[in-house]
Amino acid sequence: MPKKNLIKNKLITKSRKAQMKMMENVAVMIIFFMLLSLDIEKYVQQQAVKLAKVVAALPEVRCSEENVPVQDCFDLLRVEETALKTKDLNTQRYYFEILGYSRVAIEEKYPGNGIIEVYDNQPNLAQAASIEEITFNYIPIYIPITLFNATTNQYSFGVLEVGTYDK
Amino acid sequence: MFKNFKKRLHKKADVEIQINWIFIIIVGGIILIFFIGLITKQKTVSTTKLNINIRESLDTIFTSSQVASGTANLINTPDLEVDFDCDNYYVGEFDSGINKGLGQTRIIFVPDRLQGKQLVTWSLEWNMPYKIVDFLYLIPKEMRYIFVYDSSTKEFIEEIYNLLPKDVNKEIYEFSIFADGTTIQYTNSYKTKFIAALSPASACVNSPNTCPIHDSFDGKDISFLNIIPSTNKESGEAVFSIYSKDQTNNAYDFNYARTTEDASTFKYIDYNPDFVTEKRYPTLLGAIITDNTDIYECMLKRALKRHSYITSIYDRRVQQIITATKQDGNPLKQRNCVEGMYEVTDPIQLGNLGSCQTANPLPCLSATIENCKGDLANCNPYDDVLALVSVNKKAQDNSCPLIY
Repeated sequence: MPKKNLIKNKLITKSRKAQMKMMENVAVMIIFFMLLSLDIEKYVQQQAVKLAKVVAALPEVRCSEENVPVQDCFDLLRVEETALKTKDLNTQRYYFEILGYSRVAIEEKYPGNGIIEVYDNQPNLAQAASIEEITFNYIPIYIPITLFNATTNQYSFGVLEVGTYDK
Repeated sequence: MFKNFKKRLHKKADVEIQINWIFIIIVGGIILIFFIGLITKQKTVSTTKLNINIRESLDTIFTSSQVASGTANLINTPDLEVDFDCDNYYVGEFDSGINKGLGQTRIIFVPDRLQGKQLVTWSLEWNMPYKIVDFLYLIPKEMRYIFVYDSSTKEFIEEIYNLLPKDVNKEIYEFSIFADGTTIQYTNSYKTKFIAALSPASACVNSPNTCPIHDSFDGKDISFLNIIPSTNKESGEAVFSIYSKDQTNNAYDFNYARTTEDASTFKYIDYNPDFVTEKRYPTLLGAIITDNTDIYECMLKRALKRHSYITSIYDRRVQQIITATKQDGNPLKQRNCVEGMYEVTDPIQLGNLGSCQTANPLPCLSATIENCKGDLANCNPYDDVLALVSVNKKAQDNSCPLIY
């Protein structure tokens, strides 16, 4: 009888050890995927920062005085015109080369309230879904900006939203 | 009988030895082929890897140029071998290398082949009169640029020479030194480009094949650019020639890059206001840096296309401002920012805009740029540009919203 108990105890210890190992493996996997997702997020945000710099340097949208750029300022009328241009079929391809799969939007916060979607080009999900299940990360960054309205000669506060669609 | 048996055994052993050798040769050969194949495969893989690295580095350079203009950097690279044309670039060999499209938005002035381990990257804004785009210049350190001036063009050529970044392999000579045909000799650079602005009286202006050059340059990749500035020096013409073998006398001479002088002559279109001292002559510098007429023509047309896009946005904006000035109670109307503020009043400038039948210079500039895209040789946007500058100044003086 004591011999039987000994074997039983040994088996229980072994199974506990195996469970522990399993748990350890699962924990390692969880940490690995957490780090991976953090890394992907960081990469996506880096892409967005790069794109924000490109957008801010575009003469189509930036404010200028005697051709000198005004830091973190967007010209409202130019932004509206550019938004129309990026949706125009003739120029869509051109702006895709500059901005790729991304979204650029400008939101007026004060005194007015409104949003202008300057550019939005999402990868064709419907086509991709038939090949494999693909999801795209969209983690935008927000930059405070000023908006200049030339028709009233006034400035307002706003936010520039820039994000890339990454696999 | 025993003797015969021994003889047979001997024969058998001989055959076995021979079979062993054959076996060794076959198996050895297979092993050798296997390892040679492995090494070749490995070499191909590492070359492809290197080419991909170069392509990625170039892509990073292209992207960063869109953000920071006016900066020049000397970059150490792996041993480069990159060929460029208007639409693509090829890293490595043509047949086994990697090629990638440049797209329609990148404006890069580069020789048709980049070679060597160091590369100067430089970007400059192109303003006409407002910012249109940043030009990117890729200049191999191993390419030699030799500037030649005469008494009438010394100041102009020296200015251009000093504008180029210090890391560029550049030299400057007076025409008499160039003309003696012995002082300037080949120095192992894979490409050499002569840049001159010579008065019409100088030899080699009307016929480049009379330009004297040392024999050591024979058979090498040499090109020649003669600049003919207009009176304002902002615009002018650049005549491209290459050093090639003349089939009639088997001697090396400068010949027009394309069949005729007209076909080898291209405009450069820059707007350099007096207060700008550093970032001047972006299109002329493009003609200097590239040695290929196709690349220069293509990039210039691309820049004009972008001009059209931006001008159409600016034009619509001014129309909206003008509409606003007509509305009662609009702050612009109260400040006397009326339609006339955005129109040319100077009779001479008005006369220059005559062909487009409007006093607003933006639609005129837009129309001129459209014409330029089709007819680069007769492109002259300066009257419209100067009218636009004066209108912008008038708006500024009256505290009205500026055009640019």
